[in-house]
Amino acid sequence: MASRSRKGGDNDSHITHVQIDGLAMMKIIKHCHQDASTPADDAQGVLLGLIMENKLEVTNCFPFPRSIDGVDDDRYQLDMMRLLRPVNVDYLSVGWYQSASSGNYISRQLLESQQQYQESIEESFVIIYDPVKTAAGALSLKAYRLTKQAMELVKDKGYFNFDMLRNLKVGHENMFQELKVVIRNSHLVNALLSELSEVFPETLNLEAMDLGTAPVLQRHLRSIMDCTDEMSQFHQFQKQTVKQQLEKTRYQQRRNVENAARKARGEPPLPDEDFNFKPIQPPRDLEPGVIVGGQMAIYCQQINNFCSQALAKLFLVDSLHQNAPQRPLGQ
Amino acid sequence: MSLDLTVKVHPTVLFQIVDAYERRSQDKARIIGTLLGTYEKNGVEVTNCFCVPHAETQEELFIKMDFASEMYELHQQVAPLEMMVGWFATGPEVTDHSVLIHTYYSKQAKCPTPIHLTLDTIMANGRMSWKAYISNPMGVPGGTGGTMFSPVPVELVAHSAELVGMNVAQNTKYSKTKTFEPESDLSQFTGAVRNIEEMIDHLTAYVDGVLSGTTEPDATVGRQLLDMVHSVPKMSQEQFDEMLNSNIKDLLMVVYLSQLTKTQIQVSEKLSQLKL
Repeated sequence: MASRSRKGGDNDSHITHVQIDGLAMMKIIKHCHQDASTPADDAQGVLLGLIMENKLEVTNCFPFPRSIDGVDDDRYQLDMMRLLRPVNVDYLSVGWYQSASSGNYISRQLLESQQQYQESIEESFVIIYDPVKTAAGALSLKAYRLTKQAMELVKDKGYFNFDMLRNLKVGHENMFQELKVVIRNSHLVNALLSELSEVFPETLNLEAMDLGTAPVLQRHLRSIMDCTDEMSQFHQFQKQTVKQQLEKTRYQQRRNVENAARKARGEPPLPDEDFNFKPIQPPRDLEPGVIVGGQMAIYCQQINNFCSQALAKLFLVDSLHQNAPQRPLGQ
Repeated sequence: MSLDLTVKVHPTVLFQIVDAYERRSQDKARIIGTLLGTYEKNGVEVTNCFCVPHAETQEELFIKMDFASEMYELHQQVAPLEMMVGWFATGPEVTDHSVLIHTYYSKQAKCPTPIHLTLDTIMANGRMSWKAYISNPMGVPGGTGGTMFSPVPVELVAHSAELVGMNVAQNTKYSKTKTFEPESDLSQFTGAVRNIEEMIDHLTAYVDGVLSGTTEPDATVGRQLLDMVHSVPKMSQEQFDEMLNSNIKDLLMVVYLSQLTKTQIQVSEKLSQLKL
């Protein structure tokens, strides 16, 4: 493979945006909507392209088969890249994409995959495509990379614990770094688009005007409710740990006081027994702390966006309705 | 071979053909490849394609067939429902070699009637047009037979998400750097509102024109306008206000809850980061 320019050091500095070819975007859309009715939640694929000075170009992509065993993945990828060479497609994989309806993409698996990619190729990123939002009228394609702290956190492949979170100061807000996405088409594709615009007149995005807010809100709220259940387990654990910690310190103090008293009386100090505190079973691992938190933050953000739009639409309807009696439309 | 076949093509396919054409090696005048899709009752729906390297000169034709079958198998792993339905070529017309390639595909592809799609990337008529053909044998029985490519109607179909993607991509035509940054949600919304405003202006201009006698009244347009006005649900002011207010209250409550949740998460995270 040709050597690619590696800008070492701080990887937040020089990449400003991601440039996607219209073709790659259409292929991602096609793959994620493949199973006619239900947009799949785990459609994944690889992005191919180039790394230029301050932008990452994505010129093509191919989907991964949704197989359970991960063994085939490498084979598939190698075969595909080998076959794409003779047709002159860029063979440098700059990242990968995943579909995530309503933005539910933060999961342990995503963090690990992204971390692997970023280890091998420093500037790689993941594109999250939201099929539900796009079908409703607004193209939703976002590019993310892990920040340095998040990389450290996931590197151990073990369980997060409080110390790691504390030391690295990782919160759900600084796990991902979002990159601007720009769409680019070559001249010939623009000519094709001009042809296509005659067949598909530019729709006026009427779905965006839909006043039916209930179903979308219901879906979002249900997802938040699921996340809240997980979070509550985590919070309980936190509370118990804090309580136990307090009791430990209190016990220790009492011990010290007693030992001082005993010393004053000349008796041997009590042996330092092991605290017979049952160690509280932590949850599976401290995923909820950061991951579910991040996921919930995203849901909340989406709800905010959606509600602000819905409010705008309602006010619009209100103003139209008020104007109606004064402006009878002539026949 | 039913001649009332319609070919439905997704725009993704055309994008891929154009891209493959741009990336071809210097010595090729045109590229060919396989079309993938599904069969329906009266037609074929082409949803995907891939380019196959080939070399052709005046006398001979050479196609990498093992490439084609390997690529097809890989694609099958991702989309088991997509089958080979034909092949495509760039260029304005069907050439002699096309016959050979077509016979190959009709033997190889497990489909009875392979479709041949051409996309005119060199824009011979100043337009990039696409055509589909199927082959029919012709000739006098007993004499030398030949094949004839008869055109089949092509229809472009796209589902809503593809349309959205295309609309976004359309905007790259208008910028010098051929780039376009998709706007944020709210600005897309304002764009849609502006469109509606323009439409209403257009309509009112037309109606004013008819009223003042400057524009020819058209009965169908008038009837459609009447339908549109009648489709606004009739409700009294109080009903409307009540509905509006209850919706607004719902939304505000949800916004409040989501802000609360967000703040709570941030607080809990800060707590977990404190030294206990």
